[in-house]
Amino acid sequence: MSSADRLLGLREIYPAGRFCRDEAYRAAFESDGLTAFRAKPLAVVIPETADEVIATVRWCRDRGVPFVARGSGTSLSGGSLPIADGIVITLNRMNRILKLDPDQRTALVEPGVINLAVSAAASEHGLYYAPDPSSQTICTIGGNVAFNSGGAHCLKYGMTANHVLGVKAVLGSGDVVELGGESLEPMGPDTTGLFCGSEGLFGVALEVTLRLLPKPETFHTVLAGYRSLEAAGDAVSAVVDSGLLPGAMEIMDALAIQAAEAAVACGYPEGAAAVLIVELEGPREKVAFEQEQLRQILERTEPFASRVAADDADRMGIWKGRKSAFSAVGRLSPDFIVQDGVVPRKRLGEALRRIEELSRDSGIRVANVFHAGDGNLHPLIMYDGNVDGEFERAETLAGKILRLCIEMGGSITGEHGVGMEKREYLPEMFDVPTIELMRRLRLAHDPASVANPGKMFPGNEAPALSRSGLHPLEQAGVISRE
Amino acid sequence: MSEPVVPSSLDELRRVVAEAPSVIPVGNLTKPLLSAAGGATPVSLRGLSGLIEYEPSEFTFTAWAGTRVSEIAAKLAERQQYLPFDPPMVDAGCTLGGVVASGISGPGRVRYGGIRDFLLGVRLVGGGGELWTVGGKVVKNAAGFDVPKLLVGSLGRLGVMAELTFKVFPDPPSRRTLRVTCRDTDEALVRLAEAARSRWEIEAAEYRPGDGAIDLRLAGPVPVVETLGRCVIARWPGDVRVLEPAEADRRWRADADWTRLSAETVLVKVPVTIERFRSLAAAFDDVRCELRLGGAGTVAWIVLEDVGPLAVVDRRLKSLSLPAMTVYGPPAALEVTGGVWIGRPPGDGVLPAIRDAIDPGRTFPPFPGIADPAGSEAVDGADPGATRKAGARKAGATKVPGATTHEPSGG
Repeated sequence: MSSADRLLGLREIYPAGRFCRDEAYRAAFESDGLTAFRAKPLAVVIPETADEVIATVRWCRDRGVPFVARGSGTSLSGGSLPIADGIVITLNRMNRILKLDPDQRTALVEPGVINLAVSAAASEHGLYYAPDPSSQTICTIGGNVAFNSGGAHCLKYGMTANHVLGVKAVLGSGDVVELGGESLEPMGPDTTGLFCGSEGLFGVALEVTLRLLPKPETFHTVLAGYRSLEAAGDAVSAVVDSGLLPGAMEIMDALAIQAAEAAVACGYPEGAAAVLIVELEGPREKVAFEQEQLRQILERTEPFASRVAADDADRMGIWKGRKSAFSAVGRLSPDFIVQDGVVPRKRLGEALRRIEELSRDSGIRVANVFHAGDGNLHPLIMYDGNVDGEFERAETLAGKILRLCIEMGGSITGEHGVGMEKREYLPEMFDVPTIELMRRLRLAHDPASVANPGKMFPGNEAPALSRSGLHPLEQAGVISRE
Repeated sequence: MSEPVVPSSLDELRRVVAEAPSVIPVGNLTKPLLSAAGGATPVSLRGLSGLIEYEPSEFTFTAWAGTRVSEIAAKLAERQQYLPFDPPMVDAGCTLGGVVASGISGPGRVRYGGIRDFLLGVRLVGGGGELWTVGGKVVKNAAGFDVPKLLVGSLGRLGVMAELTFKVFPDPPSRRTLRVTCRDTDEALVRLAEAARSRWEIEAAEYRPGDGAIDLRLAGPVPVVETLGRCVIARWPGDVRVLEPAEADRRWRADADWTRLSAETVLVKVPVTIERFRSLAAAFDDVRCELRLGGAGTVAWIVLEDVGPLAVVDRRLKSLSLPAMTVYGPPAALEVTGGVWIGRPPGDGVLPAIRDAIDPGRTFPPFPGIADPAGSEAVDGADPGATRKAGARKAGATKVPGATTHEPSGG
């Protein structure tokens, strides 16, 4: 059957221009934030209404054609990588904020709404949307929901799921369901919570009810430079032990600082082996009280340099260095892999030491940026894809870091999701019966397995214990990478 | 309800669940209506009790599901930490597992969220005696499906939670409750909404039409709550009274302790919005009941003196298309409405499929008011992932490993 025949019925759902088969479109959507993997879809559709999405999903279900729904394609785990010869449903045009209720502190949005657009719309009511992944200027709520995205404020405010009260979705089964509602106190099993982080394997969110919070009145942002990573880690423990609950605590190591400095001249203390950013937030009276506490605590940790953001512009300057770290590392290396494993906070120092050893042993440089408050590491593993064997060495190192996180009682992913990238590691975190349970839950939502198949779960084959040589999907000719 | 079976180890729990034809897990039975389930064998988690790990520096603890929340709260208090969703019935002896299964958070849910926002991981026993470890033990984790959240509000109908891991927070050093008198419901709702989105970082906000007032709770260092309290007073001059600490403590404790209600009282929880509360209040104008609005306008409580008006309440809720749950009351309440879920049944059509995926052998009772499809038996191959089939029920239940990592301390 020709590919045109195979698409019979799907093309008819869309007007010209929103059903795309040409080479350029298919190439544009063949990858996401995990650029090492590419796969060409059969077609790309650009729905503008929920009905179009529903009709598309039902068409896929009836014909057993796999699909992936995506927003801006910022997934760092390959979650929105197309399925070869499947359909890409791109949701960026479903970007309406349908309702904003300041009294109830909720927003009802379509999945293609940009994360930051929610806070922008809520701002006039003194409200904001708390989850703030680094890509928040471009990533969409639909993607945030699918991958239960995090950000710098997760210790205090939780992840995306903690701010999603309800979801209307079309499941892989073709059924349209309304999960949860507008209340903080729903009834019955929390199916909304289960949908969040399902990585597109249950279906496609059509409308999402978000919880909004009052904007903190004021911030107090401190930047402290340390002579060792360990000292910065100890400072985090000291803050936590004090009973303070900062909005964010972030650490960057020397290599990450060097990259950020080169990229955005953020003015971090020269010669620092690590910088720590701690941010208090809340009513001015509370921040005024706590900032003195914080000053005393940090003083005892003996940073060699420290400064407090003088105003909002200064604060943004401090954050700019942190938020640009990922892209800035591009200045130090042509390619890099970002990992996002989690370790218990008290073992951060040990984890970083061992990552350093692994880096030294493998000859692969690793820059570290992490959400220190919640133990969420972000090792940036640098390699040059044009040098034979470097990618494989980098991947091997990445795998060792993930195993380190599991061994320390943490997680293989704090916020990026399993996606394509870490699916082989899922069986190292969960035992066989638990993965079987998850498969059954997936099938309850999507009996034909058409919604984003091939992600999260390892293949049917025994999970590979190392990632050398070709990826199993590459061997099968399903995907390729550059 | 027949006498509960009380397993004293995880292995025994798995064996009991695997062997019994029908099981309903129970804790300390502080909310007995929620676990009333006909002929199912009650399996008590009383013997699986005690703190397993507590890491104050990680803001996490793991405990057996039968552990009383009061015991945990005392341990957390030693390190100035707490469970911010302050569930009801702590003084009455509610257990961690019961709290999660009930899905009922307390007034503190406003500031940082409810039970769902603090439950990190669960060891769950399936209907065939399976042991599943879902979620994780660290405060941030995005690996695999978030099954722990699904268990919040599951009423023990999906599996038996054996062990739970929670996130905790530093406990604010002081609290202050302000009673804001309001002339009518309209004024109260406007003020409630304003307080909830204010810069004050309200910890709890509730409206009681009976008192003609909203109660706002502030939390933080002493000088901070004093200053913020003065700001609230200045916002509505003449209408605000600071409750004395003992009075405030009594007020919140009384609300959380349903055993103080008369034996006939019926308590119904209704997820709402402020707007829906207005409709609710209008529709219940002629019904003999007391209404309260909690969670800064997200949950309504209907308090009935006895089961008399419950049938009317059910009908009115249905006509308003509001779901609700009878959380407390005499057993007669169930006879009136046929189950604890009243009003509009939870409308997320995916629940039957989820139930069949987790409990294909139907060891646990169906969700109240959501009947199994007529004439159906335990899933017969409809779910390709199901491991057991009708007629072969419990076949998969024999494998129970010998050793567990932690032995429960309670008994």
